Amino acid sequence: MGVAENIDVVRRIEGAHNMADYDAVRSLVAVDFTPHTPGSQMLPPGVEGAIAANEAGRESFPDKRSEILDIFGEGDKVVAHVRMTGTNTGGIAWAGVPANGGAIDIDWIQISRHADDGRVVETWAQMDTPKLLMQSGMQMPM
Amino acid sequence: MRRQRMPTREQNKELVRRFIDEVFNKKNLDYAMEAISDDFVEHQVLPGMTPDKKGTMEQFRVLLEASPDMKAEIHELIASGDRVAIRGTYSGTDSGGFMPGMTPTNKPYSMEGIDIVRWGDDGRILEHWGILDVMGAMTQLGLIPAPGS
Repeated sequence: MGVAENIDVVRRIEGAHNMADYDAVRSLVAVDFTPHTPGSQMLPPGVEGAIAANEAGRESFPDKRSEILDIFGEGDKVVAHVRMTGTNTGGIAWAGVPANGGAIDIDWIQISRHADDGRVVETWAQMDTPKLLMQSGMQMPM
Repeated sequence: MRRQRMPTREQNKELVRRFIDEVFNKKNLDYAMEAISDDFVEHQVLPGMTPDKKGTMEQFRVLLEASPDMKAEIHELIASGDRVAIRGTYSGTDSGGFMPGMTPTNKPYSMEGIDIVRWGDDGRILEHWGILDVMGAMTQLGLIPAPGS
């Protein structure tokens, strides 16, 4: 697969997470995919961890939507700059943050590595977690 | 022979390598003044800073004063068109306060980040987006408890 096809895979994964279409996610992410994302050690391994993370996000922010602001690639890698919006009506269990009705509007940047068939086999991502927690009502020492 | 006007992705990657080495490793802020466009737009603005070249230069000064032993290591560069993504680790000692107004912990930290820079045709940086693992660094410094603990 070329860069354009890999970019399309990342777009389809974001769309599938928005629709909670996990059959689609499982068809686009390798079963044994490896995330290098802060906090991913708290998740089940492989694609099921990515699904669990999305489900946790939907519990915290049931109206959660992601939107790709910028996407490009080189070789077997794709860079996606993503904006996530939603409302904290569910609380964030892992951070001990209760629901506050706060509007969430944060970014993350993700690098994905793709197998020859286009599936995502590895990701590196950074999310603006301090902003997420502050918008959710948590006091941060900053 | 057709002359290539746009910088190539390899040229943009080389500019990124040079910028990170000069600014973070050699603390050469004069280099940053030259390499950043006057029309520069910063999308990752620290509290109290302006989203322009002036604010970003101030941000570099604050960062390098807070951790004078700062070292940057680039793990990967991914380039396309006028953009380069940078995955790197920024390490140092919190000797001046991790954020302005915070008490120094004098502990070491190692912070990963992913950045995107957009280059102008003149070889200067026009735009920057970036997200650092601030929570991870603050956990290492004992400023916040580890997530899930």
